[in-house]
Amino acid sequence: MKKILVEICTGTTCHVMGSEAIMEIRDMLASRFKDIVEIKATSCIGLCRERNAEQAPFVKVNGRVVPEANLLRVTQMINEIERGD
Amino acid sequence: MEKLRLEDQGRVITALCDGLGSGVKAHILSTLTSTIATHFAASESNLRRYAEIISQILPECSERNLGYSTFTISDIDSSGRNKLIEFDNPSAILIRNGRIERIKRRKVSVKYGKLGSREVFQSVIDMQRGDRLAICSDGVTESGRGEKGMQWGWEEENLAKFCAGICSENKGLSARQMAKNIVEAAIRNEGGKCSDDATALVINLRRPKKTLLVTGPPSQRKFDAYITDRLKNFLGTKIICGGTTAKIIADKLGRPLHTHPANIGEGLPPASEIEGVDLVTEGILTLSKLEDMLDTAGSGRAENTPAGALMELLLESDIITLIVGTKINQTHHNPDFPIDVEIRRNLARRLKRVLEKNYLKKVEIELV
Repeated sequence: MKKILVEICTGTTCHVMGSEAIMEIRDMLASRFKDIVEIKATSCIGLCRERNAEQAPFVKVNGRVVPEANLLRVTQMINEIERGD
Repeated sequence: MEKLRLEDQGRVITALCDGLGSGVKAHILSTLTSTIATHFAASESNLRRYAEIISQILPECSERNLGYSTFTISDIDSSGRNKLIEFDNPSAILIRNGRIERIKRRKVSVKYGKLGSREVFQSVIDMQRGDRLAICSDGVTESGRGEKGMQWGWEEENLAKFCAGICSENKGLSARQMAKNIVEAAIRNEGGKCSDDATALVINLRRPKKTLLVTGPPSQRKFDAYITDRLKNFLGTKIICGGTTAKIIADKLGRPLHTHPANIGEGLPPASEIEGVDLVTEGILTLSKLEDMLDTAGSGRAENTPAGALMELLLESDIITLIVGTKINQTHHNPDFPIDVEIRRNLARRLKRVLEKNYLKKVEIELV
């Protein structure tokens, strides 16, 4: 199974908008994901400054951006990638 | 305790005072005495005269009909010459090369209000590099009184031995750490809870320690290389506060930037790591938290957060250079952003003020 990399932005904007709570995803993933999903904190990825980008907090899952991220949206993205969408 | 730096004369004057009684009364007496005494010492007034004035103007305790506070004043100039005046505090302890050095004292009698003639000790110590001078309140020397094996408390002699011990164990021990060690030992003697105020003031003569803190992206791209070079070539502690700034510098240096996920859950964004940089943190939230901590705690226990680590590094340094990028982060000034964040350069100015005033650091700000 291919690895899935979840990068959670911890820059000022994302932090204030609640990225810290997304870290809990570590404990909430289904057990089949335990070995394939790697969760990383990153410093500001700069998306908050782009005019037409959506709202913070931002999470990248295998490079795909999840705007206005929360536990649900990140989990959905992980599922999508697992299915190969 | 009061500290005063006379920049033009290269003098630093400190006073440790212990007021009669406890709580608010003792606090008022000691604060008044320390403030007045440092300023009198700064103006090089006659000791007899000012001890007399202090004793006359201190407010009297209604129960004891007496206004009284001990004081030890150290007036040190840039050559290391320390004029020490001691009144009723435990004797100051001089540690040189890990050994206790005797201080030659001269006895002077002064008139101290209702108490009449009292003895004050004057001495001049030519301090050498590496010397440490510890001044404590009687809460330290009398700590543990009545405990097993300490009928009279810890006593000056044992305190001096303790000081010599920790200094020879750790040659690089800073004044701050040493003062902390002394007070913590006094608290241990008391079984974890002090029955009297235990205060320690330590003077350490050393070459100034330098720190460079870079925060915020420069106003223009072309200065990116400049801030990177400054950081790379700096001799001393290197700190970066700001995610974007860290990224710019890591890219220019060609070194990876790692963020620790382990430290999450402390209310502040986590610290990161760049090889060759001592500390990398988020910017504006961490610096705001640092300002709060500097304003309130000071000598308190350091928090185990990026802001706590930052405070620890800054308080261990003497000369701090802040390179402040002036590019405005538009996202922070967006009406949808849930909190108002400070403009970085105002925050830097306030940090400079508190570090200089409360902690006697030298701080330079450079805007890029």
